[in-house]
Amino acid sequence: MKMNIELVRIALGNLMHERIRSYLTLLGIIIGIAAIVALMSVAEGMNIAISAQFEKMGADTLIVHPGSSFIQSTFAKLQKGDADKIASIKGVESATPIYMKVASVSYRNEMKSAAVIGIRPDSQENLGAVGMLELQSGRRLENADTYGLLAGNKFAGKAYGNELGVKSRLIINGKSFRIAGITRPAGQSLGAFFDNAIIMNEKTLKAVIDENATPFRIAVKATSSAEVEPLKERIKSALKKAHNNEEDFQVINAGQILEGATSVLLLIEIVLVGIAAISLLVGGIGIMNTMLMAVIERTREIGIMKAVGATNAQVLSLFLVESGLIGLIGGIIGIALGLGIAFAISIVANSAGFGLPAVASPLLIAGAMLFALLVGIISGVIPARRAALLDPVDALRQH
Amino acid sequence: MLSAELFPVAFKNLAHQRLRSYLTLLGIIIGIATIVALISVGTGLQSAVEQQFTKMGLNTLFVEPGSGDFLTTAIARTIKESDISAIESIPGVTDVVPFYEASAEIVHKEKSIGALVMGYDPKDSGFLKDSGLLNIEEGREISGNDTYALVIGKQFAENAFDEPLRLKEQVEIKGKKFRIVGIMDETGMSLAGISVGNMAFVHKNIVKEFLGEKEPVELAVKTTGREAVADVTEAIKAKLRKRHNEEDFSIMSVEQMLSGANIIIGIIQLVLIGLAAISLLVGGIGIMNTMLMAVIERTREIGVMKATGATNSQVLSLFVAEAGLIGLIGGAIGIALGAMLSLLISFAAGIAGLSLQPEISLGLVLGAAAFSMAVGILSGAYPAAKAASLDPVEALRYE
Repeated sequence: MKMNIELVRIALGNLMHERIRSYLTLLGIIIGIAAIVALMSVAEGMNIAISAQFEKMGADTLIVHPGSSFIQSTFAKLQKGDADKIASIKGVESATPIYMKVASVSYRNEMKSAAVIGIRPDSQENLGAVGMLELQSGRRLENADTYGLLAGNKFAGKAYGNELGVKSRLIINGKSFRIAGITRPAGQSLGAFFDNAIIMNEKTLKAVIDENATPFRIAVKATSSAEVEPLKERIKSALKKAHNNEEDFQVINAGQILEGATSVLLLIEIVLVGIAAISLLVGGIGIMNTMLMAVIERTREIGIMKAVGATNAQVLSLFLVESGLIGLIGGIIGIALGLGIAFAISIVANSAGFGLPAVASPLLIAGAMLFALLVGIISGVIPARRAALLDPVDALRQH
Repeated sequence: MLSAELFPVAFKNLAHQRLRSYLTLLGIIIGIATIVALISVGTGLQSAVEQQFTKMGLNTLFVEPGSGDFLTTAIARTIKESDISAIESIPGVTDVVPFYEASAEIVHKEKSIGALVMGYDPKDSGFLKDSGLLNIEEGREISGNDTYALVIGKQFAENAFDEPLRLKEQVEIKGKKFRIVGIMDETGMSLAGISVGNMAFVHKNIVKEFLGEKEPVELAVKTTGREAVADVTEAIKAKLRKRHNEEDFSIMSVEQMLSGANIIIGIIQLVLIGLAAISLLVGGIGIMNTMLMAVIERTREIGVMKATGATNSQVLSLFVAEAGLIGLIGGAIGIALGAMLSLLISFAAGIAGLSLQPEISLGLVLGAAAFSMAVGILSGAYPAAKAASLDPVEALRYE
């Protein structure tokens, strides 16, 4: 169609003619699209943040935890020899037990109970590589460390006011410890426990807190990521045998946890975007209203167009282009505004300590633009059909 | 004053541009309906939660292990059997109900399922029943003579194994046969209808001796009344701190739990209603647009009104009345639609196993009606002011 560009020019001219009405109609679409874009951009950012955490964990890592459901995982127990048993299974590169106990920890005579995690110092590299244990300051635990420990980021920052730092002294069960390092915030990943805990040598935990401690989790690294699925089965059957034929534990991989987290996030996103989309529906009704008014006002004009040879299809497309333009322009401004809001939210969240990136993905932008255009065109269908089907004789007679 | 006549005239004007008025109305209807539905479902949720906590008794408090954050509470086991009598001797305490918990695998026909096993003293079954934690549907609760007897949840009974478990059937725990003596309605052990997972009740001695968890995991403390809660909390704190040499426990009153839950529900509601309110904003813009069109169309009419002696404020009130009427009618229909929507939501939630009774209070209805009328009037203010300030001479000349 040769008329295409001209059609857009005419449509734009018509819209500018009724300036205030067009602006207000646009505003409806802008607000709706901005709300949706802001929500989706923040949600996408959250998704990326979570995925990044879990991807670090790698496709070759499995976690064994006690209990066959989440609520049980704090009651059920793994057994002392489980880690060694798993380490000897074919396809396992390493099996790292992680212990967790609660102990009273005092700093300058103030006593608090805190979660204490016990690890093998030589497993820090593995734990760090999977994003579970990275340091912000100080140094890692060494095999020789007995009374050196790491403080979780939140524990160091909150437990005793903002007072703990590297070299601070803590007393646990009468023994004096020194903080060697402070962890980096682990956010939503598996390392989230580490944030609120103190971390010490497994041997020290057994000597000072509980000699009968059993592993709280076992992190298993497979020799290759292809081995993960068959390995999972082998670990299950080996542990089941060791646990009197009871499957009172779970073996999960990073992908499974990620799936759980993202599906919850997706559900929340659907509800929020769904509610925000209602305003776009209302905006679409606004477009329909505006276009119906335009058709009524321009009845004579339509009559003249038809009298000088415009086909029904041409009249139809003129009005559709007009409503589509409202959608498109509203969409573009709305996307810009929405992304602005998303970045503002992200800045506020970051300054409040939540790592929440806002994402302006091409897909989101293109999708929102297309959606806005579609809303415009669909809202214009009834008015445009009405215009196209006008009888030219009646239309010319109208005042 | 014209005001008695104002509304019939305003109504007639709206009816004149029927289609435009309908579409403008629709924008308001959708916005108000969404807000009303969200509020009534939210209030319903809130009172369901409130009811559950009130059943537990606002004179009740819970003593939990750990220092109060989720992590230490979940893994610490610091409450001692001997704490029970110590607390019982505190003035204002009428009863102390200990709970014992352990994780166990329940085996039936070769298949095993993990469950949380809660042990209680049969003499406390009155508290459990009164507080709504244990609602027997079929059979009976644990009695003093029971040893290997089990009360399980209805959903667990129906879904855990290939065939549903029935009353008097036997399952195995750690090689011992247990008889199912009761089946309970699980909603008691859930929060706002969300089940916490597989759960069974047994005699406390099963947990203490057979499953080896000797110490109680949590204590419910009944006081003489709601006013006594604060003093008793302090007294327990002082006494246990002395006994444990540290504060390795935390105390939560039912009232605190209730206000915590209310805050969370309130925040969720605020976010959702905020998003829904955006659509009302867009609807308001629609009213403004419609009224601006009306002012332009009726310029001559406004000129005639003024020429025959109408004051500025009479013209103003006519247009404000029209806009307000759109808001009010839209609000009335929106409230009805929103009420239906919330019934639909609760019906759908009922099918999904969530009991949720929406609450459509008089306050909500009146508030929503006033709010939608306010939206109409506010949106109409600018167009009405424009109409009122028209110069009658210019207006009469307008074509």
